[in-house]
Amino acid sequence: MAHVTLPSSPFPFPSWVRRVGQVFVILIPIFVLLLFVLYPLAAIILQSIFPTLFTANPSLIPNFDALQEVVKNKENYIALGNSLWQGAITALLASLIGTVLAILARRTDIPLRGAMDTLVWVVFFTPSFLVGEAWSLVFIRGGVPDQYFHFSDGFIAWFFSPVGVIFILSLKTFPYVYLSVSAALRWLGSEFEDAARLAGARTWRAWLSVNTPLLLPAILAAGLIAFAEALSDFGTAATIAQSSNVTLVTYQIYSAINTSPVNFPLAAALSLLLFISITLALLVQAGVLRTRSFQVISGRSRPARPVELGAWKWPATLVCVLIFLLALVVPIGVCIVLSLLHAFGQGLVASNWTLDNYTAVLSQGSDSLDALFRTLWLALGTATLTAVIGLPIAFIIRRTQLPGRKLLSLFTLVTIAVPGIILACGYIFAWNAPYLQYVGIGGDLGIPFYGTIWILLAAYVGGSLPYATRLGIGALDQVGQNMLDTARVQGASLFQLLTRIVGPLLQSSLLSVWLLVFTGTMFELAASELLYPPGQPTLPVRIISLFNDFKLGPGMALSMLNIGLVLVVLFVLRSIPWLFTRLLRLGKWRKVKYVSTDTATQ
Amino acid sequence: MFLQIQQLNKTYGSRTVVSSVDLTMEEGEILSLLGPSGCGKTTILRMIAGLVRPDSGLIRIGNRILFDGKREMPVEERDLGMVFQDYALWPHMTVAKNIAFGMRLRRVPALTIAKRVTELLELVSLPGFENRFPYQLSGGQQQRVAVARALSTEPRIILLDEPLSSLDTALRETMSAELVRLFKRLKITTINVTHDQNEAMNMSDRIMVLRDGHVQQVGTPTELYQHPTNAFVASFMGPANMFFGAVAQHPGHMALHWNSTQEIIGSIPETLRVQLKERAGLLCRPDDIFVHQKVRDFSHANVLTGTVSHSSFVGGRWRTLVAVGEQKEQSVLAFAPEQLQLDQQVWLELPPERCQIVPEV
Repeated sequence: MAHVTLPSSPFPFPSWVRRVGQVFVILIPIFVLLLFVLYPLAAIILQSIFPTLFTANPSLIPNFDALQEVVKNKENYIALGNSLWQGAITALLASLIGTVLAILARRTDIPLRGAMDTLVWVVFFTPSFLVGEAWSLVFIRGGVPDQYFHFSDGFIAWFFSPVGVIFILSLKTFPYVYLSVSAALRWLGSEFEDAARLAGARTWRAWLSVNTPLLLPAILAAGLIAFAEALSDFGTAATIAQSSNVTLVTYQIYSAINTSPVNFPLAAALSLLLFISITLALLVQAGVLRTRSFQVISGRSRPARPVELGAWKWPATLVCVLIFLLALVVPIGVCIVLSLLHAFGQGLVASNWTLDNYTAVLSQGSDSLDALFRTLWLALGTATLTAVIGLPIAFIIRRTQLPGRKLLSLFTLVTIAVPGIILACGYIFAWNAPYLQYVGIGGDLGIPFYGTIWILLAAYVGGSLPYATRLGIGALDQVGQNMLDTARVQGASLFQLLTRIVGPLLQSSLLSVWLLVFTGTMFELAASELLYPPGQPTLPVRIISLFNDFKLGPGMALSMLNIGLVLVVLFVLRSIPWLFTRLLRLGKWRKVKYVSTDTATQ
Repeated sequence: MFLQIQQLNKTYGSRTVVSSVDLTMEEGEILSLLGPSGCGKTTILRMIAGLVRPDSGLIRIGNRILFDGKREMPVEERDLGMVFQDYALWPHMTVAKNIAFGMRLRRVPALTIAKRVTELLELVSLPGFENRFPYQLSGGQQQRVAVARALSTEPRIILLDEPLSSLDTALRETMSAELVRLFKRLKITTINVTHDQNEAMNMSDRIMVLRDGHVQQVGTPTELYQHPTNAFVASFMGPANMFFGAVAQHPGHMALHWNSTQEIIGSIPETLRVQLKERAGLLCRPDDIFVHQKVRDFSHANVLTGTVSHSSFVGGRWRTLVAVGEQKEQSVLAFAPEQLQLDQQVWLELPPERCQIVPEV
């Protein structure tokens, strides 16, 4: 072997540079987590106990007036009560719909089963404010359907009540149950039901007495998530719940901050109670999941046989079609139709069809177009930052021995379901506090942060970081430790390990996280409503304000553009890997002509 | 003295994994850490690599101190090569990129890297495999790539963590011979972790036998086989018949009271004699035992009688198990010249000069 001498010092940097780099890789993500998630959430607790803490003359005298006000003031406890009982019924309905759909899709020969996953994901991503608004417009007196069907007063009154709210919330939350039960079904083989049938039970009997109890923990856990999601939903609270005069707690928090007289302590107290409810639900959920071990006994099973539905095939299909009709086709259809009408009062006549709404919102320099671009870059930035910051945190939690990593893990777990409205509330207290002037933030002389677009970006990142981290942890668990150790032995620093080995290995999970965060941010309403800088609304904020001004045509046109934009980005990102491999193949074909190791050395 | 390890210790909670391990190696030497699973061999290797932090001790390579009880050199600065059991090739990189990784981190010029990747692939007999991905290679080929990658940064010491255990038997033999030739040619100091004594004897200049974190014996393969220092090493280093009993000191020779009627004569080196306690073990390798079908006049008393309990034709010889002792409680392995009938009575001759007395543990 010819002897090639490597540089005498194996490392081009002095080791302290590498150490500092290491510290940065660890400290920056943790700092982001502390400043933009922990600090605002702590501010809520502090604000509800020390009402004057975030004023110009802070004092540390505890005062429980705000918490008492929740109990005393009818509006407040009714809002909290509404959220709780309607959330509970929603969870029941969502569990039913999600479980039925999951079983039909995974275990029967129903015609739609191939498309079910995709459809459920689309429902998952459709913003609740749009579904809520669309359904209110379906049944509104004088609306397009009303012009043909003439709904009775009784029916309209019946729908614009908790019934409508629960209806929308159920349609929005059943995907959580569907996904959870689908996953559980994957682990549940056909053995149990076969055994029951050999013992003489009919298929339906076997399902009812054997499989359903086995699936129950999964359903229960998912139902609790649906409950937490229904509690934290703001889009429904801001649309159909408002039209129905049902006040939900998320909206009550919003009004405490956004309508005068502004009542920060009350907002904090409500947020705290909401946060506690959600955390309790999730703790119970974690407890339920822990008892689930008996399910995995049948683990690594062969693919289960589908049940033949026979005569039940068509009724079952009808149920599925109906659910997606209600959750997807009707709302989106209504939005599309309304976006193409001059005025919906005039009905579906030829003269009423128009593209004006689109040209209006897309016209150069319109507020709507500004909002569109603002939200687009915010979403791109949030998704990228979250993916970049979430990965090191996941790595710290799973693959290092750093002290405090367990605490970090617990923190990301607890904050995973913090609703945008609560986080935004915390931002108002935490980042608008007068004492920040002393560290050069805000005030007349400091760097402005509160009231700029940057606080919105920070809130978006803070809101998505916990679940991005949890997803990253899940993905990291599938990477062999030896692959990482080898890289270290070969001389890779922490930074190089993350960028050259872990990142590329987790490429597809990172992409999923990116898409999830991107889509979520594109439709984010709650935090945006509270934190958008004056005169610079985001897209969902703009859409809601158009709805509120009863400019339905432009509002719907903008919503369609919002959805269209997300679809375009999804499509582009999905086709990038394909394009990339095509280009790579082309490149390889050409490279064969000269040195074949070129790819290695570039 | 190239590598030096002194008083290395590691405990996990209350469990001692590595206890007071001392080791020195010369440059270019190939040493195997041998022992059953859980004996601490992999932990020692990972402590040298820097992947596990020792509780105390000293690790030094050349004039660089890797660990001195307080300060620890980070893994990435130790400049070692390591090959893992599952190869741990990065699936998102081609063979060339896998091998080039360490050199690229060291800012080696691209042309040099390309040249060296080609050389390394030739060295491990995989010329022209640059643009393949790991999943396109067989187990043996992945193994070679992992070795090439470990060699790419020109480490002066290479650590092998059971790299041959996931290959099939035939491939294992050829690979181990190939690796020894390669490492000898490059004069690379090698530490190989294995639980397979054949592999250890095949590859190593010296072997360190470990048990429960304690060093049992360090020596060349022949030393370990012929002069094991205790019963554990004796039975671990190849097929062994061990008899246990009380030590009997006779003028001129030593023996073991195997049972109330039988004494077996054996020898013991002076160095081990001092370690003897009341009880000890007596080692007689199956190859050294003569199987007789008829009783005859033996010149010594080392004859056990028993009945055949199993006879099978393995590797060109009749592998015979004979149940001996008052209750036929012990099975002795020997090789008979022909097939023997089950339950047939035989006499086993254990030549005293081939019998060694060793401390029990």
